[in-house]
Amino acid sequence: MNNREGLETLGWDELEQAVERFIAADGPGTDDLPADEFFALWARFEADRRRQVVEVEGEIAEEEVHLTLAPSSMGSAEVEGQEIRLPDGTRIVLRFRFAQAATA
Amino acid sequence: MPVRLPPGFTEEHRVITRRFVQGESFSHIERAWLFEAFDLLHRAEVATGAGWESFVVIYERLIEAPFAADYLRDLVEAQDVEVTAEPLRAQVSREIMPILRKAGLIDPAEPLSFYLLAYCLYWWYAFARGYAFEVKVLRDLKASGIRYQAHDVLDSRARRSPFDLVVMGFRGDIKTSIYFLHVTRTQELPHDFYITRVYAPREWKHILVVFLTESAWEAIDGEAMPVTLDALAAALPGIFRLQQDDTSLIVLDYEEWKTRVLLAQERIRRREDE
Repeated sequence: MNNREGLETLGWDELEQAVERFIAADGPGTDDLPADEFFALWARFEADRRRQVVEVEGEIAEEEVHLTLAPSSMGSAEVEGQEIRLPDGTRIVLRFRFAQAATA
Repeated sequence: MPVRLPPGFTEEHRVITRRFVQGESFSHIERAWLFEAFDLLHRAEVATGAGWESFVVIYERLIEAPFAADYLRDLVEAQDVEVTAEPLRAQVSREIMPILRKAGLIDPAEPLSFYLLAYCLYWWYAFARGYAFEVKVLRDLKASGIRYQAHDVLDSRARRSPFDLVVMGFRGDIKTSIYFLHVTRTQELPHDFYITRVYAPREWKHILVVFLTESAWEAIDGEAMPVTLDALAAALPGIFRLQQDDTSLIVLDYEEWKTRVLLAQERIRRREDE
């Protein structure tokens, strides 16, 4: 097994055997984490979350703005119409209006 | 049944998922990839007769809905929660692959469907371990004389409440370390306190820790030493004030927290009696 291969490279028999071993070992990797690893991961996730940037791109066509998630931000939010949904449940709704003509 | 893995699910996520199923151990950097992989897979989709359905919908319909109620009832009725939980977890886990196969959702000819199997195994274990821990802690709080209101884990709607219990008016959650980190990956901690459990390798035992907001701490009072997240594992046990940018949490041992809550509840009870 090449160490860089994904789950899809396993044969069916290999998969069945791996699952049986996984169950016999009571789900290795799903138990509580060692304290130092837990706090190190928490610190990392806090730092990652605080510096996360979600890039949304807009295209103006026939006086309408079409929003899409930038390729760099795929998976970090969802965009539908004028609404951006963040993983923590926050919804950002954009409302656009035409600038009013300046009066003398 | 074609499968669509979500955008952002990289080669690293694929490798780490295979290694997870094969029971390999992980460095903490790899562990971060594992958390990310299984969060991303919530948005993976499989083609069914109803159209494209997300992995989370399939998991809830075929695994959690049929098995959760029996599993939780057996836990609640068990004399020893941990001893009872392990064979029950395994029993359900052995059914996952045949159920997905029978539903036509995993197939040797569609190897990307193996990710659905990995997803169901991962989240079933997280669910099963999470509730075994919660039931055990709730039982211990009751035995310790702590007064609290908890959601009913046997009621599927109540179980999905945003918090698990209320102590002295403060909302709390009881989470295994794995579940706790899945929350902190994507959001600020929303509740007043958290009871979690980590493993202390040098002592070969699990330790329970409570994280409290300043206001929940003030209600039970005391002194706390300032500490950073990276220094906390080495500093425990004790009572610490954890400062992360603009957020401050109090960290203390579960037994110490219970002692302080009992004293505070006793003070309240005496005032109410006067």
